[in-house]
Amino acid sequence: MMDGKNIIYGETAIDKLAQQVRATGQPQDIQSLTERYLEILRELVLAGEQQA
Amino acid sequence: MTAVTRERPTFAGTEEQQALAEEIYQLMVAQGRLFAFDAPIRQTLQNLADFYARQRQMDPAEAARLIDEALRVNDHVFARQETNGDVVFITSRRGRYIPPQVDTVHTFKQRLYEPENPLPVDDISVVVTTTRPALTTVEPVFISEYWQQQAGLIPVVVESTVETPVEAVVAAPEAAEPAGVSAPLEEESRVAPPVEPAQANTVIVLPNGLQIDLRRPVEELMAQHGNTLMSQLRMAIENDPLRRLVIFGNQAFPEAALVSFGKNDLRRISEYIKEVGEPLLDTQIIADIFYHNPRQSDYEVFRFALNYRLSREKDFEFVGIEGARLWSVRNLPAIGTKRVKASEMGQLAGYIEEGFDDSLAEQSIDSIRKSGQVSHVLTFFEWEYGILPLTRALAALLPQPLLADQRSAVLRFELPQHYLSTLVELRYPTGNRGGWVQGFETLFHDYLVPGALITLMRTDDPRTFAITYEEQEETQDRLLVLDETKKTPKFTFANISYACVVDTDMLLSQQQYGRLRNLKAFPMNERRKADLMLEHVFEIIGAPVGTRAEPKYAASFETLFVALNVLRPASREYLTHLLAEGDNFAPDASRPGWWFYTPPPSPEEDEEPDDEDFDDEE
Repeated sequence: MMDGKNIIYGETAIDKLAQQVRATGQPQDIQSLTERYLEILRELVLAGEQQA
Repeated sequence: MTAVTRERPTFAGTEEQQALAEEIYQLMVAQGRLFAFDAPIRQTLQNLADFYARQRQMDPAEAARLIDEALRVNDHVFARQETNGDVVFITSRRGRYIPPQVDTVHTFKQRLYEPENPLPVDDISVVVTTTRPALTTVEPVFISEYWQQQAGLIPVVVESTVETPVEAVVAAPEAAEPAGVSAPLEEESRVAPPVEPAQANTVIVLPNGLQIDLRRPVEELMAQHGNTLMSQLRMAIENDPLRRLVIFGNQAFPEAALVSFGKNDLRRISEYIKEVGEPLLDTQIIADIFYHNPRQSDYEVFRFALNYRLSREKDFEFVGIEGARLWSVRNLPAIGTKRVKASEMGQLAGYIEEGFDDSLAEQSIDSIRKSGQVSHVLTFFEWEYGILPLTRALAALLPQPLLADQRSAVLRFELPQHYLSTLVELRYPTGNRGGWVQGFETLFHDYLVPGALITLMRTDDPRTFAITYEEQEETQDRLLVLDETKKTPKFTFANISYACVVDTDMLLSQQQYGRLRNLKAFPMNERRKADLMLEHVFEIIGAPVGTRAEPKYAASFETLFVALNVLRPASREYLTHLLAEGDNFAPDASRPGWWFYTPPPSPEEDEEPDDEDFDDEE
């Protein structure tokens, strides 16, 4: 679980976002990229809660 | 240096056992004479028994029993260990063996990571530097548990010494159970204290200060803060020094996965564009140079890579729009007139950026976007140079730049009534310099006249637009033209035939605007001084209502508007501003829409009129 205050928007988990985009094999538009990124951040902060 | 004193152990047991224990002790100390003072000296019972039995000529088993008994009695000297059935006795030169205990209560490592009075941690980035290495390697950074707890990354571990509240057990219904049962319950509560599930902090703060709760669904966040989230992510990606993701237009992809283009590839692209003589689409470049097929699975990535690489090359310029990515190169033939330099035109159209744009007075942006067309009456300046200022009405029709630093876009305009088309360059406004569209010169001169009512409209192709006009029977008239055949360009009237519907007030016929032949064809760099141009225009087109000593001119607003637009583009709102702000202009109270201009007296000119008067009288 990651605390929200430790997340730097646009920096935290960008590697993971890049991996996901690469896996799609297609350039992604900014809107879908932002949605993917929000999903990743959401998983990060809620991971601990879901486990609990 | 402190001297180390050697203790003499005392031995217990019977005399025989004492003697035996001492003998074995001396034997083991001799064996470990080079050992550290408190280093363990080990010997197995088997070895000792063999030695003792051989020396005393007795049964090894009996020897082993005697030794074991003797050393067991002296367990303060010999520590006994059993390992895999073997008995090992341990002592040291000190006289007893004390297992070493490493003191880890105060270590330098611990003090370094867990200072007694740590600074407050608001952000983990205070502890872990965000400075990136020059090499693109991501190395793990160790953060001690202490700091992770401080930053809330991991929960704080509850010390095992904390007592479980007895009240909880007593107050529980099980408290009524017999005493025999309560004891294990108490133990359980000590071992596993009830842990409250940690409430996650799901609120993140964006660089612009906006707080986002990630507990909310993504669709909801995008609906409410979509633009901010997208622009902030875009900014972060563009500023990422590691370039993990790169952006072209509205698309992103990891740079590491992009195809690379060498100098030879770039040279071939450049030569091909020059050969064709006009900007080319990325798809055309891919098909004609790289023979890449749109049906190939990596086509879109290849296309993205090409666009991204070209955008980083100085020799190439992006002149496309969304849906048509066009590339141009240096030294390609210029589109449009060369008589007006870009820097001059930017200043001439600057009034639009200053807010004097009235193009939306008759058409709203919504209606333009919905209908996809804009109507416009051509002025002399626009007709002569084939340039249309990029008013807000025109900007609503034409495409926006795809890249942030995009200077221009190349579009195609068709004249369907004559099956013609031409390339035009759309120059976007920058700072206080206005934008414009150039390249209509031939089209306007061949089929239209100043005052013609034209309609610009979109087509199905995003980069192709159409110009139409309403036709009428061919008419011939003497209209104003700029004669540039001589050394000094001058305005004159010439016979021109036209077959388009015109706004007669804007038609610069000799009959209506004959005085305009006296207009001075100022160089472009002087035409940016709108106030001076208006004064000159007023003197030429205005009716003289003063005297020779005190000249004064009167002109209607519409006449001034038409005449000023011969020298430079100007909107009605801008003209109103110039008239209202100019010291020498005054409205005619008796005639609405008319203005007076009183030229300022100049000392040099004061005498000249007198001379002229004298000459005239002669």
